[in-house]
Amino acid sequence: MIKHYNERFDETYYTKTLENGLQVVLWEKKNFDKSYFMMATPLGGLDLNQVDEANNTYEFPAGIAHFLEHKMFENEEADVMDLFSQMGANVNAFTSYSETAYYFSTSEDCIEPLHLLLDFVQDLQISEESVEKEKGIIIQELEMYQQMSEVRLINESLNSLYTNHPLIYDIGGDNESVSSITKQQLEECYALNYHPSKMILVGVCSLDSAVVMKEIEANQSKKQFPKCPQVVRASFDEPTEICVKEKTIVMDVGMPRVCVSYKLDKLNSAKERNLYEWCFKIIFDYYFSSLNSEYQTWLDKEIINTSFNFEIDFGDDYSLIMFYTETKQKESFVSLIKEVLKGIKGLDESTLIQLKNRYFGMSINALNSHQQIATSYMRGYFMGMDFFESIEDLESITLSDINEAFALLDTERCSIVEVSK
Amino acid sequence: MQKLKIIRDDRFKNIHVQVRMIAKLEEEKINARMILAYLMNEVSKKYDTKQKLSNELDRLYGASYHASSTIVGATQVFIFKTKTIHPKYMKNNIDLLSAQCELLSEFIMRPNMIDGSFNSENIEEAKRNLKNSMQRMFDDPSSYCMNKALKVAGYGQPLGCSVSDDLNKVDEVTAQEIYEAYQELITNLQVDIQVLGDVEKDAVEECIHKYLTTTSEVRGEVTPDYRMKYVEMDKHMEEVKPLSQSYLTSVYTTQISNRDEQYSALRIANIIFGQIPSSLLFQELREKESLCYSVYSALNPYDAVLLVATGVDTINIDKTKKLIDVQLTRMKNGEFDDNLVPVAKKMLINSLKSSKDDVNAIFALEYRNTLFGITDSVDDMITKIASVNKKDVVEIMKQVELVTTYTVKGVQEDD
Repeated sequence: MIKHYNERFDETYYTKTLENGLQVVLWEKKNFDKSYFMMATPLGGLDLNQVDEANNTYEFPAGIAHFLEHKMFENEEADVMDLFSQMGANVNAFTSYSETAYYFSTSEDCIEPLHLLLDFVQDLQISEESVEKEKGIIIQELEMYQQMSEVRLINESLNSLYTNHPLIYDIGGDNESVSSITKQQLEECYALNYHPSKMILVGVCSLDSAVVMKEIEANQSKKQFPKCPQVVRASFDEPTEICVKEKTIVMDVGMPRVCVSYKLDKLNSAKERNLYEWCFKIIFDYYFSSLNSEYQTWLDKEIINTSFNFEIDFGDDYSLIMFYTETKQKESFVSLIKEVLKGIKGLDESTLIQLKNRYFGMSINALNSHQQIATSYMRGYFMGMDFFESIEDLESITLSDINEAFALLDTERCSIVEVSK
Repeated sequence: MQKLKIIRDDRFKNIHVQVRMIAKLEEEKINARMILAYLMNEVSKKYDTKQKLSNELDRLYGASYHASSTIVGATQVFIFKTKTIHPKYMKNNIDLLSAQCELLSEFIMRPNMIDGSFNSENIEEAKRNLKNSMQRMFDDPSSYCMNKALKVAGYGQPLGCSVSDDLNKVDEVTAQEIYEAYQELITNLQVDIQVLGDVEKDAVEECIHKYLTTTSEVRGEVTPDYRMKYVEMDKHMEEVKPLSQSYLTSVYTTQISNRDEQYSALRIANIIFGQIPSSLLFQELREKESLCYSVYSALNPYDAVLLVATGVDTINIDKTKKLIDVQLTRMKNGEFDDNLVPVAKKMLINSLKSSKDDVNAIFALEYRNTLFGITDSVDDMITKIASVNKKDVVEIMKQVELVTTYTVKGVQEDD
């Protein structure tokens, strides 16, 4: 077990890679009753085409990772959620574009539910019948999201930017793809993506890490995992240009929503992605916020409202930026975004320091949350970044890094989506 | 007299200072108070632009300030919150505690007023923000359905007043009414100040005395809890909207207030009914019938109300209503696995223990104790929960009565 202590943030954690390849991280939070454990695999909504070292390809319908997340809770003898309840623990899971994570929290003994977490995630038990039954539940879940105008706006924007990239699909898939998923496909996808060597277990708790690690090792040493090919997301041809320039989605809403999004070239290294995400955040937190003296005028003219926000998302094989708001003035909002972007002339040193102070405070805040620690660690690990590396990179950012990052944005590769009545 | 509660806790990396002011819920004043809170969230005399406030918060290393007004049972509460990181994480030597108390004082004591009136542009912006948040809720079908259900079931009672369905009423509020709401806030409401973090008692007391001494003498005049009266009305209300899914919310009276001895049994009953994966609603509607993704029951503890909400396919509305009724009847007849009681108790006790690790929950419990003049600890609550048995759960559910089920029926053009 390797001990890591960060003096500046006053935090300690331990890491170990087990014999079967499982990466374990135990983060000490002394004096808290609460424990939080998360087990995750880098299988997300985007992983529909995978390829192994021998160049074998594996193709799955949209929504398979999310379907698998639902079915993992099934067990021939008992309902997994019930078992956690009986231990006084809350269990849940989520599927994002890039990962699936299972987690529980408890203020009681964490060892018993920890074994259960390891056991249920490492054992898929499904039947043809239960797979069919789950389809109805998942389709209702997808319908629920479809009725949320903000979710529709983002999904449709991704759909407009990309032609072939799996970002065009909802994480959960659609009625058709979900209906087509079979037991065999779920089993194959599971075998390829849930091997311990692909996964990480992060625990945030007050118990002595050596004791917890011993329990995890005892649990793992009893199990055998068949060898599995190392798969990665297959690459695909995505045109440089955006797919659809402008689109309107009709929904029964009193307040329309508009999103202006940009497609950027993908960036190759995790380090570069992290650095440039910070750079864009710094630029936009200055030009598109109350730090900009024009901001109040935009609000007063109702071109934007308090829902206005932006998103910078640089993934393994895509990079995009979105600006969205509720507004009845689509054209004015689009012009505003374009004009401000055109007028960006870098920053001054004092603004850069001011924003770095803000983000430092936010990083400190995040360390109060067991859940945020586990989620950030897991995401950083799959990206190949150390936990505190991201904030350390931020501190080294210079004005010239920011200018370099901004040059990556080609404002011609822009798509506009509106959701309105 | 205002009260100060200092919660010394070195586990968190922040220092929180919160000021709460409580008013009796008065329907005609709700919107003026809401607008006032939005206004006091944005500007003060000193921080008369958002830019100035952002600069100050950044100077304090990403500190936060937030003002809001929320309806709790039969009361309307104003909350002013600030949060900073603990000074030990900073390179510079800034007295963050003083700075955050001063900031609160600027917003609470010195609003952006000229000659007894708030700046009209600030008022317009606050009204816009309030209307936008209402519209956002109307545009989300499940929130909309919940809102309508509370409005009709609680008509004429605090629950019905707690939700608004009319944007025009916001525009009708005058500058004078907002000014009066402010006057009431600083002179006539009970003020409670809470500070949490790794702080020194003397330093906190000195800061609060210096920056946040209010003039209000009010103490103990209002409490949030009441029991919503059961009123006979149509049990099935429905409206049609162009949606691909339908939404249902049922409202029930419980006659059990947050302070009643039987409240612990009601909490257990609610968990068995619809809070956990093994609950009756989840098992029957989702797991057995695949009718929905989400179905749950919830307590509005200060109104003595229980709610059930779900979203289903339109063709399944009647089946869903029947199944919810069947589960309620099972609860009343004790027709559920005995083992659900210890499971529910364990879940609730776990959640109560977790609340000791959660800043918001710590504040909420302290404030509840202050309002009711009691000293309940989490451990006291756990003792009460531990003594609940199945008979208590069944007895309590017998008191639960359906007021109405509101349905937003989704219909698509080709239907």
